Amino acid sequence: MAPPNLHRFANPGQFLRLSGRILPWLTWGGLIFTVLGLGWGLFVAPADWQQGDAVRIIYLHVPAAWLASAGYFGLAVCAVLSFVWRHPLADLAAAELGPVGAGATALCLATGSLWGKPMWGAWWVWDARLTSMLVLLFLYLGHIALIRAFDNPERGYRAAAILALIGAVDLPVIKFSVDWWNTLHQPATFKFTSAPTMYQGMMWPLLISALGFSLGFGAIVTARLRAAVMERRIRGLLMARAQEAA
Amino acid sequence: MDHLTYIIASYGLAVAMVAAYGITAWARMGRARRQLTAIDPRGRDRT
Repeated sequence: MAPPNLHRFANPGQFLRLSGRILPWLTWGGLIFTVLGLGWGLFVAPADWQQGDAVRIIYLHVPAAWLASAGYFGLAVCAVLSFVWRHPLADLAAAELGPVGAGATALCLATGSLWGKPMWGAWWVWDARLTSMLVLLFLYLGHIALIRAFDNPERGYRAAAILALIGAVDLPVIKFSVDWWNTLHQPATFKFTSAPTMYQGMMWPLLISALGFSLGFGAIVTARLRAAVMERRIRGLLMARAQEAA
Repeated sequence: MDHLTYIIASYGLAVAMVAAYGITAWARMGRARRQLTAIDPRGRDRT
């Protein structure tokens, strides 16, 4: 049985109506805050005294890293919603969230590599943070592949949901890898236990960029999920007509 | 601005990825909406 507050979103028609109202806010909010954050980071924020202008990659890299982890957490939440409450949209949401999360992870790895080359002198090192993030990309790819691997979509969704739950173990490993091991990657900029040490002129564009990327990520996933819900309805209507005709 | 090549590559890649995901998502949504409206005109106000 679904908890009361989830019943509202379980009906696909209700979801389409609600998401249709939310989507423009997510889209325009994402665009405005992303342009503002990246523009501020690129042209107004100061260069780092050690890293020079290469530090400006942080305004892309950190939001991509945050969304990579948050997206996978979303997959795990969808898996719980699917297994425990049989929420009718949970599996569809996971199927649409996975490719976007994989894109964020790939962007995080690529921008990290482009940042690492001038700073570390290497495109890639087998550092704990980088390696655990690469594992996350493989988990995403596995999730996408499992959904498409079965003739019966329900079996694909089940298998992918199991992988999403097991793979969630990687999330704390990513988060704490810089504390648990000696890594070339810098320690966390934002911690739960202490105030950020980052210069405010760099912190604000980073936070605004992260907000913009998050809203944009939400907009893309919502648009994909709306499309998936409508496609499912089209398939259902066409099948019903075919049965009537037979 | 130093390390300009790396910065341009990073921002270019990000813009290209976001644009690709955004355009494909909205194109897919628009196609589904048109198909659904064609099959079931009553569903127009639900999408």
